[in-house]
Amino acid sequence: MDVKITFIDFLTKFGGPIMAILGAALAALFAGIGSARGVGIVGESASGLIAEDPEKFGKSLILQVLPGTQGFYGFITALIILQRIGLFSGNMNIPLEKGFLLLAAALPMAFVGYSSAIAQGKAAAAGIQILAKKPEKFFNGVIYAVMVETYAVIALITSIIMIVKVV
Amino acid sequence: MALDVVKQLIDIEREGEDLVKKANALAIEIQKTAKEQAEQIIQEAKKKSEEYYVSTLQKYEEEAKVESMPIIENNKKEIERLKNIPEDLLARSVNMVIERIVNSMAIVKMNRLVLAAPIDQRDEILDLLQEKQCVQLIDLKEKFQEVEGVGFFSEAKTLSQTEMDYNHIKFAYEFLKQYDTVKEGLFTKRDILSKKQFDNLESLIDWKDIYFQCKEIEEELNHNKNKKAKMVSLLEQYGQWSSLDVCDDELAKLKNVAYFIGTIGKKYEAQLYETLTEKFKDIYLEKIAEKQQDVNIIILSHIDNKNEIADILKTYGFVRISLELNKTPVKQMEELRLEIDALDSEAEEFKSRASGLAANTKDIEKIYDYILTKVERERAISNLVKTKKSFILEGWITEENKNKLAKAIENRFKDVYFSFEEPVEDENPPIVLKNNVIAEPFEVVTSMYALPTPKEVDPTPLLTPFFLIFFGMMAADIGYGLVLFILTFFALKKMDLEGDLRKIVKLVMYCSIPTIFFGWMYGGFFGGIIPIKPLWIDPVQEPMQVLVASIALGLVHLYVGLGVKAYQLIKSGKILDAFFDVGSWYMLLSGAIWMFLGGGSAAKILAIAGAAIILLTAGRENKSIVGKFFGGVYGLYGVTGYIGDALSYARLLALGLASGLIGWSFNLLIGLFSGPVVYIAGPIIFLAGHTFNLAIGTLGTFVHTSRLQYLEFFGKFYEGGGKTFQPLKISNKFIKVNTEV
Repeated sequence: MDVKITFIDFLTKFGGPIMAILGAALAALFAGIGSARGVGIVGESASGLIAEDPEKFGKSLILQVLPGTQGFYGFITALIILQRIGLFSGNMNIPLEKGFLLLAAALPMAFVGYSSAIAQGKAAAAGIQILAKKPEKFFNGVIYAVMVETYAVIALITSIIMIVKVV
Repeated sequence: MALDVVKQLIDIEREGEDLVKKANALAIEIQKTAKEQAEQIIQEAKKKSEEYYVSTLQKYEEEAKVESMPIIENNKKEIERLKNIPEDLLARSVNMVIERIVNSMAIVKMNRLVLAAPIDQRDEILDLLQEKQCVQLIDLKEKFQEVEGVGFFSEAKTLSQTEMDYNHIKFAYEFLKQYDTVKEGLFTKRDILSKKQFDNLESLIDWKDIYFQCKEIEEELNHNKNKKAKMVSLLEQYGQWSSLDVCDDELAKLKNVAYFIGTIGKKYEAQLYETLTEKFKDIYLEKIAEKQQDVNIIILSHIDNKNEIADILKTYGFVRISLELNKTPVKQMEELRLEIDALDSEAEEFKSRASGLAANTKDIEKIYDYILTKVERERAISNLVKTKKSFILEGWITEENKNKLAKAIENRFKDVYFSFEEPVEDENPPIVLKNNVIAEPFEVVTSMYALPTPKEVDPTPLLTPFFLIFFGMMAADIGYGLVLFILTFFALKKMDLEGDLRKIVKLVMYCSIPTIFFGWMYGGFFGGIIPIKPLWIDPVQEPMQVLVASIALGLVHLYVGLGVKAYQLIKSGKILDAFFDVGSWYMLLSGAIWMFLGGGSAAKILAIAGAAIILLTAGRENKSIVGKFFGGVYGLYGVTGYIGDALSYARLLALGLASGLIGWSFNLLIGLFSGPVVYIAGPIIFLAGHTFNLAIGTLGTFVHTSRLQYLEFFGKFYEGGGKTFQPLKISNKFIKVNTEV
């Protein structure tokens, strides 16, 4: 004998965790993709420099890791959501509307993380040029790249505050 | 008769008596006059002496008066001065205290050293300056361009010789480094030499011999490598012909047979075979090998058909073999292999010779510094100017090193003129910062942005407390703080760190303490692996409170920055500007914050007054009324900048959260394992994860903390643009020269 479950039933029963995990996934996904691309962009242009001047590897690495932080911010956002909905304690019990709220809360980190990581990657790649031509002004290049990070930081805070206030 | 006699006698007696009487009277008279005269003389003498006495007295008095006048005057002044001393002392001690404070957080005063000496002492004096490492030479060429009788040193020849030496030693060093088996550890400290030992290095170490040997080995190795490459490519080429089992000798024996050995395109192969076998009966075709698009073939035919076949082959693009075939390919290959082996063993030999030479690496390193020092000294010569018999040198020196150098010059040289001058008004001497023990490492933060100009305030001591607090709030973990402290502490103790690197390590050590403190406040220990009750608040649970605290701290930071701007304006006499540009913002910001906190109309009035002042005065530099108006509006628009600045301090919360939560996620990962696996995977994940987080986190924290200083703080008051002080010194890449003795 089969029990008929309508979609609405399903949604009300499982929708909360689904939406929440969707939010967590989006935050980790987009921010991660963005960071991967950003770090990649810097790596490409740093390789050109290292071919000429291998001693600058350490400094170029500093520039390269800068766009990597967004991925972590996304990861943190995801983890906080997962912890809040009780995924780790195994007791996922969250109503549908809170699930939607968590999904919405994850969006700032997801979108801003994605595009700011790429933008930061480009800025840091340009910083490699500074490192090549005027190594003493290297830190200015770092600062330019860090300027971009401000918005990722703001997005992270926005997301976290929303998550913490929702659950 | 007798009577006559008696009478005569009586007369005589009478006469005698008379005479006696007369004599008596005379005597009395004489006595009288003598007395009178004596009295007179005495009187006169008395009078005279009295007169003399008076006159001399008068004279002396007058003289004394003249002499004592200035003394009296002086005494009067002295008394006045003594009266004023307490006030003076107070003023002076206040000045001294201010100077002390300013000096301890400040730009070191520079003096200009002017030195002239006989030309033959030039090198010795430069050597002394280099040893003392406290003078940055000034290029005098431009200054003396037009002066008659002044020449410049053009020592292109010796310089190029030394620079060549430098290139040689650099080559030798880099060459030996490849073969040096002794790896330098992190904790290896540099050798310390005395100046005398350093000066004698070249006579003790025959570096040229080592260089020539290196050069020879390098050349031989290159030669060997080229030869081997050639052999290897030949070997490969013969490899394609390895199934050809004839050689020139055998083929030459054939009198009536023509042979063709070579390569043809694969697509023509079948066609060629067909044409040839159709046309000629007595023909031998053999395919030796096939390689990608080409086929190696051998064709034998009767000699009469040679030209015809050659023509046909030409139309199919046949290429004759370019290799020599005086032996069969297989044999050739064998020989080649033997030769390659021989070359390999030869190369090994050279390499072992190089490894043997590498025992001299330490010496070569010393000479490297020696020659680089020499190059620097010779390059410095171009800064000097000369007259016929002497030379002139100018350089910057810090005030504290002045006496030290003066003494050193006086001890060693006789005929040297030197003096120290204060820099002129708009001169731009190089900058040396001097700060107390705590603020000193933070000079790195300042110099990464830009050194102050001589007219500015050194911002280092101002940013120090904020840097410490911000770093602590962002890193915020007891465990990470402890690890950082231990690592940097040992690095400082055990490693040979110098200059900026040492400062950075020290800075991180200082910053590890607030890291521990804020870790305690937030209750973080390696991302919460051991739960610790937060002293203040858990930022994950209550982010809003931390956010408010962050922004409040940020506002303090901004206020201090504005305050420094006001101080600078007031110091240069622009008190009104200080009020317009800083006071107004204080009013507006404070009013706004007060309003935000629930202040009533008083807060509103304060804010509006501030805004009004900005609106009215921000455009005061512009000439036209319209310009003034828009300048004011634009100035007021700057309030958005302040909002942005204040919000920027939200990163104090965000990075604090990030460092804690990333660590937490690794702990979570460990917790996901169950059973005995956790004992293997756990420590690995813990170590790798937390090391990673610590490294990335510290870097991020450092960068973001610096950013808050550079943009939010420096933006308010600091421009920078000072030049670094680069004294002539002894190169210390591999060794240290002890110049104190």
